[in-house]
Amino acid sequence: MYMPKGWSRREMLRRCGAGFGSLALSALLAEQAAAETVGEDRGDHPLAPRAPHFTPRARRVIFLFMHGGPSQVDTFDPKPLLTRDHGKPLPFDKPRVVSSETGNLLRSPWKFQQHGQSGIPVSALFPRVSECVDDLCVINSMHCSNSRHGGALLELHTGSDTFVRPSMGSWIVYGLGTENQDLPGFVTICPTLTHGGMNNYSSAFLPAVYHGTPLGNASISAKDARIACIANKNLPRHLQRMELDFAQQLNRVELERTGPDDALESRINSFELAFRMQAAAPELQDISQETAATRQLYGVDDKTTGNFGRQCLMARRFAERGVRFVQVSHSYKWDQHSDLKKSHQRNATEVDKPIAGLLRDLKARGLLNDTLVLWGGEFGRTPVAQGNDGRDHNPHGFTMWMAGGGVKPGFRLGATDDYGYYAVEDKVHFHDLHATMLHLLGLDHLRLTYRYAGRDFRLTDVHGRIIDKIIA
Amino acid sequence: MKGWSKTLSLVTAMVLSSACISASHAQDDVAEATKLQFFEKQIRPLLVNHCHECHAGGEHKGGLLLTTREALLAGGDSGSAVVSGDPDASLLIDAVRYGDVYQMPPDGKLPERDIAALVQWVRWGAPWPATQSEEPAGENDESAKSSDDAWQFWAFQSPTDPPLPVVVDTAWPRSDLDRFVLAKLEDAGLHPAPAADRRTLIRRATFDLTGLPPTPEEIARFLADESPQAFSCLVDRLLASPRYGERWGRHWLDVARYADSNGLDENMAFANAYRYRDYVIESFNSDVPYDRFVREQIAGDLLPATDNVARLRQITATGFLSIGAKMLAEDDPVKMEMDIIDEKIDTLGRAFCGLTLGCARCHDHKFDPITTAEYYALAGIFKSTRTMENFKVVANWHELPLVTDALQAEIEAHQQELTASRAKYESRLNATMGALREEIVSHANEYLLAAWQLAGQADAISRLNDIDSSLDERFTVVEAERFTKGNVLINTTGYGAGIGVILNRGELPNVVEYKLAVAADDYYQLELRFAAAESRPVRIFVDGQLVNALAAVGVTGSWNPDTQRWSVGCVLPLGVGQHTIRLTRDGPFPHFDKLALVPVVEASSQNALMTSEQLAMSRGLHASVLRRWVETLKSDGNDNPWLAQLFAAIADGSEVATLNELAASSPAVAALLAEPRPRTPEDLADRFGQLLAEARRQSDARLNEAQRAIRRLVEDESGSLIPTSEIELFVSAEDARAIEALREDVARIERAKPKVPHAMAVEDGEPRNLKVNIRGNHLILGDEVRRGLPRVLAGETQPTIAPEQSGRLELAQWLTRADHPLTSRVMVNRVWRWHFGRGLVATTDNFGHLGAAPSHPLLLDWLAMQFVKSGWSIKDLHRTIMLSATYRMSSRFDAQAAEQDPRNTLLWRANRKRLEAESIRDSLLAVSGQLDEQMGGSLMGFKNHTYVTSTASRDTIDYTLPRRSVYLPVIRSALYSFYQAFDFAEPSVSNGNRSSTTIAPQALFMLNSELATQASRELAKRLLEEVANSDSERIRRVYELAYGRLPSEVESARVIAFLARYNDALRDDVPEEIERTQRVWEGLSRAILSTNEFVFVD
Repeated sequence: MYMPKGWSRREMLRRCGAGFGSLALSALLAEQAAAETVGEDRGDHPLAPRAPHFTPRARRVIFLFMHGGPSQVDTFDPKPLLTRDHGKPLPFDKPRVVSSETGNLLRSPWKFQQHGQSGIPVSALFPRVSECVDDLCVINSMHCSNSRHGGALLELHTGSDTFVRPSMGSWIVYGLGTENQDLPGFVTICPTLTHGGMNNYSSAFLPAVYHGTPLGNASISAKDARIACIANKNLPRHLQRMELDFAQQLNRVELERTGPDDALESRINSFELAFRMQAAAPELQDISQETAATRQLYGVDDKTTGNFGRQCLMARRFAERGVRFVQVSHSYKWDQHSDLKKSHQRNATEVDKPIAGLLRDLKARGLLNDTLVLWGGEFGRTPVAQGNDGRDHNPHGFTMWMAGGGVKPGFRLGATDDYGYYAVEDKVHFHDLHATMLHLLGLDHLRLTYRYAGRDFRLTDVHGRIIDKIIA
Repeated sequence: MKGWSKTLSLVTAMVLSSACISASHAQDDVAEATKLQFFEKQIRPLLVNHCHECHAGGEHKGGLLLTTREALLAGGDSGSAVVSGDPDASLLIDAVRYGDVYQMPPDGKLPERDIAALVQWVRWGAPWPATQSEEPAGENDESAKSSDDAWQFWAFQSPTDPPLPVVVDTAWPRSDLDRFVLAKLEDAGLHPAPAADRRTLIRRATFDLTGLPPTPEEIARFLADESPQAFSCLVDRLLASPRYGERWGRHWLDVARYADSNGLDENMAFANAYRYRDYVIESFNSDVPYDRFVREQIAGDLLPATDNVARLRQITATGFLSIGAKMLAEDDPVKMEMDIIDEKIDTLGRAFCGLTLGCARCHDHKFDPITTAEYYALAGIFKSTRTMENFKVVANWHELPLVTDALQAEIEAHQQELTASRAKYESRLNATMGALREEIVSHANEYLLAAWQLAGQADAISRLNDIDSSLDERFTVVEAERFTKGNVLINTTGYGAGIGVILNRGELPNVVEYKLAVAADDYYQLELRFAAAESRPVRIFVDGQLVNALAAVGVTGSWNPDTQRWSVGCVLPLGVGQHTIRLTRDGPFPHFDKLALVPVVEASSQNALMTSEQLAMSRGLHASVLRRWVETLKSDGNDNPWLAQLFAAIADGSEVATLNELAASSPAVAALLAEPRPRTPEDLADRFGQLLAEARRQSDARLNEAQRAIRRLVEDESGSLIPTSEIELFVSAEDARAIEALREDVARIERAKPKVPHAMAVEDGEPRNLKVNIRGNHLILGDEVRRGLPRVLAGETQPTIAPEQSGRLELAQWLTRADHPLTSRVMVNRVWRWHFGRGLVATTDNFGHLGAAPSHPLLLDWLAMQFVKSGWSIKDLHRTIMLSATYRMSSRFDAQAAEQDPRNTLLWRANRKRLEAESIRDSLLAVSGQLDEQMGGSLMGFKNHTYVTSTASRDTIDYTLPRRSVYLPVIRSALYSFYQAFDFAEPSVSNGNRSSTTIAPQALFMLNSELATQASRELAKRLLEEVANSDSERIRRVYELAYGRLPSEVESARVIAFLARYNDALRDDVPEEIERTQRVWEGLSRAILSTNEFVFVD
């Protein structure tokens, strides 16, 4: 079992010169109380930064999640034959299991064009992202196993569509700890409550400290998304401090009575941390200090791009402050069984500028080098039509892209067939994506394990290949 | 051979699957796969059956192991056993041929066939499947146990009564239990902590058994009881409290992975899951013997029931099998079913036996003796059990009605009432119908005449179909959705581009009303544009007058927009001004798109366009009846519309000769034309009426042919001119009201049908065996396996499952055998865990090889034996545990013991435990005086099988009711945030060992949540109300409420100082003293409720 070495609590107390004041300095977000289950005790401060298995290329991840399933053949995977054979039947079999009835081939309503030095093709849906194409590492050969949103979301986020498993963010924070002890290590902004909901950011059987911290949910605008209970409207800070001081005094007296007790000490610390988080989180969410240029870059003040723009800007602010895994969700908009033309256009317009803004901003701040940006949905869409202006779910071949964090810039991996239905070349399953993400973060997906119910578990279960070809 | 052996069919199947996979790649691989298949089918069984007894596992006689290819090649003391590709040089072959060196197997030479197989195999190079690379994560470091070792494992041996250990300190033990604990401590040179004081003890026992803090009054009573039985009485009182079942039922619900939604994907409401929860609570409260409790949950529907109440209870119990997390939107129905079965097996294994049976879905269990074949034998039992209604997207689960005797009586009474009311209605209807029939017959002449007039005119034709694109400005066209009144649903987005329609919203009758302005007096056609896949005639009222009872009667082909078309609803004169058009239908409407009023400009003869409604109205006839007369007269389907011909002839003023000729054609015509011969259609109609009246007076036998023909025309069942539906249109208002009232009665009684509650439950379905799913893949199937129980559950011999049964009953019975090695041990260990915070086996849900070894194996067995002897009474088990000295120790710290046994595995003191999520919440409610002790029922507020977390991601469950936490809905994948923060068990997985973490969100909750704020406010109010004018008394009260103890003087002084500080800090902002006092005490309350002492129990 993987267990990086950390100080023991006692040792730390000694080094810090003991005393509770200095204990607070250790700034533990949380602590596992007296370990109750065999083999799960990994020291006293589970969120302390810990050394990866080997030198990492990325230190953090920003995942831009396009909930619903964007169409690959309308975005990053142009198919001339699809255009040519529009209206004809698919010249090979459709999958055994499909989610809806589909008809004949449907060409993309959007023109593709090659961009940048790399000449990677991008459709007219993403005019601004296409300007950043030389930073992207486009994977055209993604595939997964589930053709429904719920299953595919869970597979993407946790590696399993059958069991409740820890999400990738939880695994990453479990593996690496976090850099900022005043903030959660894994944050998800406006996550969906459906299609697996919380299970998409839960720590499952990993200790609760690795649970993703949601800011609002998909029904709440980014502006109003907050960490639960992060503020007390009715209680001024100085009074809260007074109450807390008193409670802590009682706690210390009790601790003297009981003798050493890790659980009691941890709880004392957790209140100090929570108190600090109350200050840190609003500061982080307050983007009023950002320059006009930055706001403009992300489209924060525009009606169309404002919501996602703010999410992206917040993601950068979290990343800057050492949060390990940030997910932003463009929630459940990309599911175009019908109305493809209008809705994909609207969706793309909402995210194009913010995404390009994020990439440029990260780059300008030197953050892109060690921040892995991941873009994509839970699956792609069929090249065949559903109705006359729609596409069905397609887990068999679709596109995701990465940027920064040690992946080859301006690179395109893999291919789907001539019509964009099945991944055929350099196929990349979600398990492979997970293995590669962990690898870029300096973690060996085979060694990042957790013993639960008599077995060592991994994010990649018994699967996962590292995609060497995309590593810079 | 002892114990189990690998099931060969499975292994064969695995090889077959690899053969299948390889086949697509290269020819060579096929051959290789065939060889491996040969190995599995022919060779491995030989080795296992004839060789492994001496050359496998712990045994390797002659230094030879025959368990891997490497071992074979390496050989034993005599050298290599096999020379790859060369049978004659291989010692193994020599031995089985009973050669010079060895004669193997020693108990008899193998059949030639087998020897030949071995020779062939060695000639091929002794191929042996490599499985190492396919090992799941992290399991490589543990070597798989050999089958014999696996069976020797302690957990698979039935417990026996252990001898009582001898202890030095004979004064300490209060019970035999203590001797097991003390003996271990003495071995380690440790001493038990002194007994806890009584306040600590009552707080501990009360939280343990009820999940709530003791009230100051309860504490006082206990302190006052100086009898030696005081604690025993306390335990009995707590066990008898209904709060006990809520607390311990909730523990079990963790194990049963209870939730009120399916989780995972679309997240539908399990609106009936709560009945299982209430069953569990009730079972704990009434101390249902645990073996029965287990049997009920697995096979309650199949167990004999003493009465109907018991039967329903047992059905509800099987909810255990149904409430698991399920992926209900899975496009592959077979996968969905296998996943649901797997979830059950996994839960069942963990919950009752502490076994991870689910592992064997894809491969033989790596560490415990469970083969994949056994897994599918067990899976067959659940395949033969009906859990789901269907496997569609989104799938529905099976439920069973819960009909109590009282409800049954109610249902029957209701049925009687309904039958009576229907009879009353029908008899009234029939009477009215009879009268109506007479009336129509007596006006036959008028109907006939009017029908004749109408039959001659052309039908109104919709004018809009042709000229839709260039609507005349004189046309008044209105979109259907622009109604002024109505109860229908408007759909403008989902139907089709540019088309808005109205649809039934569920409320019947459908009604819409329009106000249309007319610019000029004229005759108008009212036209309706609609689509209908089935005939849905509507009634049109214009300005309150019924003008057509059967408009839009046609079928256009579908509900889709492309079949939308215009049809004429009625033709009528309208004057300048506004008119009200009202459309109604008892059932749902067709899909209306538009309405239009079109002037009938080319109407040269307005009369010619009279509709049947208008004509009927003008002559006091029934329009619907009239329309039938028109049809009869036209008799389009009939070869010989003789009546119409006759009318035409009379109207045309035909020659006498022509008429005579006609009269000769049939006796009926002859009678109609008899002298005095009718001259006009009016005459003819009158004659018909006379003849009909005469014919109806005549008995059937005496009818002449003419009379018979005339009567047939009117009375023939198929062409009946008597209306049978919409009767109220034809009868007097008074009759209509009476009939309507009776029909209302029927409808009202129908609506009052007693509601039958349903439980999520299972029953036996079609018995079916399953085929092994190779590596868990339902698309690659191996051999069929007969339904059965894994040997680890059933032992060496097991009941045969009758072909017509699922096997669930057998499973339930065999799991609860008194000597079952796991069932009793697992449960006593769970109970121990929930008392002490740590099990004797720390991994409460895993008693297999990878679980933890028991810290006190003899104690575990002793408890298990006691448990079974007591008749599996959980309450007795509590007494056994709680009345011990072990339970009553204090949590006093001891540096030396802590050094030696930091985790307190040996139990040198009591464990300090943090309250679980529910207890924290319930305690907040209890000490602040808010707790509502009402039991049972659902707080979901969602209809069954509706989305709990919609795609809109709104969290709409109300968690603020001050009911005990056990009754709050448990929504998978959107758990109540308080539960999320405080280590509530993941409700998708069986878990008897919640963790207890300390994370910042918990502190945020205590600092800022509405729950904590409300509790502080209410506690402050309570203190100020209950204790008048004495701060020190109030402080005593709050200490006793929150901590179960009184403050020391120092503590009291500290609080007083805090109150003063806080008061000062507030003075400027809150000048009003009463309010300030409340705020000050609120501040203190919040601080007290935030402290460790409030949420930890010593």
